[in-house]
Parts: sequence; structure tokens; C-alpha cells
Amino acid sequence: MKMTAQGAGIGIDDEATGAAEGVLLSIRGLSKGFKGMQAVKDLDLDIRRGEFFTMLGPSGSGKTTTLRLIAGFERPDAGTITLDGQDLSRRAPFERDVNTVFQDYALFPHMSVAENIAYGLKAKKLPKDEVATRVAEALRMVQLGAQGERRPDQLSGGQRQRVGLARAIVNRPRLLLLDEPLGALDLKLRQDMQMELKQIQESLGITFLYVTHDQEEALSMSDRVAVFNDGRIEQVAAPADLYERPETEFVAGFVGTSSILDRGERRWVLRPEKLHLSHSSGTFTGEGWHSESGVLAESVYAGIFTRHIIRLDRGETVVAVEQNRRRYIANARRGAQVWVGWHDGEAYALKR
Amino acid sequence: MERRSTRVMLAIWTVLVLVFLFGPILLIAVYAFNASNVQGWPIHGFSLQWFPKTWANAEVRAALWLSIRAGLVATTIAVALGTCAAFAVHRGRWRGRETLSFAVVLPIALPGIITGMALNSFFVFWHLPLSYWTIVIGHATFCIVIVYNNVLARLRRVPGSLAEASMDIGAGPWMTFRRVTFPAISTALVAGALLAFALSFDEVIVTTFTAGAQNTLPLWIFGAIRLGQELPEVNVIVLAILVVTAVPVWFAYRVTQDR
Repeated sequence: MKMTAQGAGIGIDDEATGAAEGVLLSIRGLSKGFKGMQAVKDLDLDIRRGEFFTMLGPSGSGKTTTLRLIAGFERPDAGTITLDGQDLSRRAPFERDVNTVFQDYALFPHMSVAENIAYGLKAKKLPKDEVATRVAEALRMVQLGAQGERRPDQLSGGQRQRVGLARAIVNRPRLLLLDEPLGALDLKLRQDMQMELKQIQESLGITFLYVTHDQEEALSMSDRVAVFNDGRIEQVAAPADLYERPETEFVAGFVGTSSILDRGERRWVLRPEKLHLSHSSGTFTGEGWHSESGVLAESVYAGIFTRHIIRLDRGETVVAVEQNRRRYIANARRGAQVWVGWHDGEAYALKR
Repeated sequence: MERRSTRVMLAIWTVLVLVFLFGPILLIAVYAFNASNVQGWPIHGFSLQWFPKTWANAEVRAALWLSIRAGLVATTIAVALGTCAAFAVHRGRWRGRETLSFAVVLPIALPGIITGMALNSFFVFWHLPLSYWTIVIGHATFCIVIVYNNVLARLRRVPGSLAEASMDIGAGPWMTFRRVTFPAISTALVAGALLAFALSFDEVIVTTFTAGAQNTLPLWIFGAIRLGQELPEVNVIVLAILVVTAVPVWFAYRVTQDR
């Protein structure tokens, strides 16, 4: 029964050793307001060379504004943004070694795919044959080798975003900004593109700074994730740490679902898969176990798992999921007396 | 569910509306080919004689030439100023933006007679003789609105991320305007210019107050009809104006359709 939840974070959490030479982008005291509303509040953030870093948060939490400040589309009210030791904050977007992939693709409608991709290289006045070589290479990289002559409006959403990606990476930026790039795509395509983005990032070695409000996307793609809330960062951590050891109630609620129980000294964050269920009171005894009684309010069969909603006798409602490892037998009855249990080694308590 | 009788009724109704709209125009077009100089129905026979006669009329040619020059210059001024105003209102976050927008659009809402009288008083007050240039200024006041409205509507539909993407991958403001923003608004600009020219070419009221001794084509027609003279020529000119204004409007419609 005993599992080591702590084991999940091994080797990833090296926050303490964040050596300065590993830092590519450094943000200090960054603030930005719009019409009396403070979008970004005194933000500090370090992004390491070569990492896939995600800014995660609900809409209006300041993640997109932060990205736009880094790209140079907005001017900060205060603070500095340094890339490789150079202060960017007063430079125009075209003077920054940073490129962006836009949520709405922002492809130039009157240019072909190849012309879109060549645009940045032509702006830098590179020789014609080098432009052609690099455009062809970028097209291959995003698997659009044969589509160079087409117009953006002849492409599907997924293909358009590949062009958007190629148009940015062909410039070989030191930092690539991605503003919810998969937001307009349907689920299946999203999942394929997530894999592809990750592979491209690894093969190019470019640092990715990714903005999303989709916590699953953030967890599955990133090396590290910053959770934004109300213009501030709540926590920066590797995905597993973020999920297993959220530092604030906001993070616990936003990343994954959890039931929060105040019990004496501790404020338990109980993930649905870490809650155990039993029909008898004697199951969860022994070192490190906690147990409470309740009534089964609802059971929802969802194929891979079954979700149970339990109303505890002490008042709160908790959610538990059970994997349907054995063939499902509908033995969960609504209104049945059940016991929920969790273990110190698996569940997590917030600092109070 | 649409019945057969409903469809027939609708078709008849549509034809009636079209006849109502275009019947008088068609009548004038037919009169232009009238063999006689007396207007009466049915026409006395088909003839092209009024076309060379009209063309030979020095007054008509002077008026035509004046209308074209006034239209072209007024349109040029309107394109320059209207586009600038549209960009200023679209981009800017300054106070008074809405007021400016209102002020630019106002001349089209005001009755032409008021605009005309106001301009006339203004020119007289400053002792500016009424001339070709006062006509151009008068026409520019309402031509600007057309260009401004067209360009602003387009700018609002072009996503801001296009210009951002251009700057983001290394293009400066000038390249961004030339290669991205201008192509995005170019058809709106062309449409606005064509409509502005068409409007200028057949304007009467404002021109009455801002023209001195010279006649634009519509003013010449107006005068001819009032005096009841040279009516066959009038028919020919009306037909010509119809073509000259309808073609730009049709082109303007076409260039804005594919976007």
C-alpha cells in the first residue's frame, strides 16, 4: 500500500542550484497596468537556457501580459527584462532576439506560406540562397515540405499554426514565446501538436516560453511551470512537484482537482486518486493512515476510472477516483456508508 | 414553407421595385438615342447624332474636364487625409479620439446645402475668390469621410497581431507598413477612392455654393435644364455620368468582396 509520493520529484527540483550562468531570461520587479487595473505586479522570474517553461493561469492572471512585455509589444511601467545579460525592456520588438508564435497564427494573408516564413530573414537582409535554404529547412521541420506555395487560407488550423511556428523558428531566436498556440485547435490535434512541439523544442534546443490556461497541457509538456494568479506568481516548480506538493490553495485548486480538508494542525490537499475507499471501518488503520466516515452521494462510471463523490459525516464533500482495474461490478450504491482513507506518504498538507 | 404563388408574387414585386428604381434612368438612356430634339414617347427613331454633337460642345468639354480634375484632386486629398485620420483614430489612445471621429464623419450627415453655405460664407469672409480650388476643397470635405470610413472599417477587421508578428520577426515600422499593413488595407483604400471620386463627379449642391463662374458637368446640366435648352445633350451627358459613376462603384464593390 505504501507509496513514496516524494519520489516523483527526484532530480527535477534543483531550485536551490539555479546557477546564474544557466539563466537565459531574467525578470526583476516587472509591473504593468492598464487603465487602473494592475495586470502584472512586481514580478520576478528566471528562465533557464534550453528549458521548456510554461506560464499557467486563468485568463486575466497576467501571463499573456508578461509574454507581451518580453516580446516588446507592451512597455513595462517598472522593472527589467534581461536576455543573456542584456536589458531588453526599452528595445522595440524588432530589436529583440525573441520570436513569438501567436494564438490566432497572425499569418500574412496576402503572402504564400514560403513568403511568410522568409519574411523575417528578408527583413534581416540575408542573401537570397540562404533565405531559400533556411525556409526549405523550416518547412521540412514542421512537415509542410510541399505546401510552400499555398496561401494561408488554403490550410487547416493545425497547418497554419505549423507555419506560424516555422516563421518564428527560422529566425533562430534565443527564446521562443508561444501564446496559447494550440488554443484554437480541437482536442485530438492539440494532443498531436503538443508532442510535436516538444520534439521540435528538444531537437532545436531553443528555450520555449509557453503560455496556456490548460493545466494538463502545462503538466505534460513543461520542464517547469509558473502558476499565475492575479498578476503574481503563486509557485514555480516542475510539473510533478506542482501537482504533488502545491504550495498554495490556489495552485492546489487550479492544477488538477482536489478536496481540501481542515483537520487540526493540517490543511489536507486530497487528490481524487490518492483517496482510498472502503465499506468497512477497519481498513485504514496503522502508521500514517487517516480515515473518516461518510455517505456515498454519487458514483460515475467513466471507463478508465469511476468517480465517487462522498459526503463526509463532518460536512465536507470529497471526490475519489478508483481505477477500474478489474472488470467493473456496480457494487457502489448511492447512500451507502463508506470510509475514505488517505496516507501521510501520499496525500499532502499545505503549510498553515 | 414557400409556396409557388408566394414565389411568383415575390418575383413580381421585385420587378416592380426595380422598375421603380431604374425606370426613369432607363428612359433618359433611351432618350439619348432619340433622333428628334423633342422629347416625347415613343421616340422618333434611333440615332447616335447627339453623341458627336455633345462632344463638339466646348462648354460641355470644359465642364467635363473641370469635373474630372476636381474629382481627382479632391480624391487625392481625401485619400491622404482620410487615411491619416483613420490610422490616428484606430491606433491612438488619446483623449478627444471620439470627438475627432465624429467631426470627420459629420459633413456626410449634414445637408449639402448647409455645408455649401458654410463654405461659401467662409470663403467670402476671407476674401477668397470662388475658383477651381474652392470646388476641390468643398468636395474634399465629404470625400474624406468616405475614405476615412472605409479604411477605418478595414483597420478594425485586420487583427493587430499581424503588425505585431511583422515587428516580432525583425521588420521595422516602415517595412511593416509597406509589406503588411498597407496590403491589408489596400482594397479598402481603392474602394474608398473610387466611391469618393464617384461622389465628387455628380455632386451638385455643395458645388453650387463653391464654384465661381465655372461649371462642373452636373452644374452645366442643372443650368441647361433650368433654361430648357440643349436637352438632347443633357440626356447624353446624364448617360455618361451614369457610366462614369457606376463603374467605380461596381469596382469598389468587387474589390471589397473577396475579403
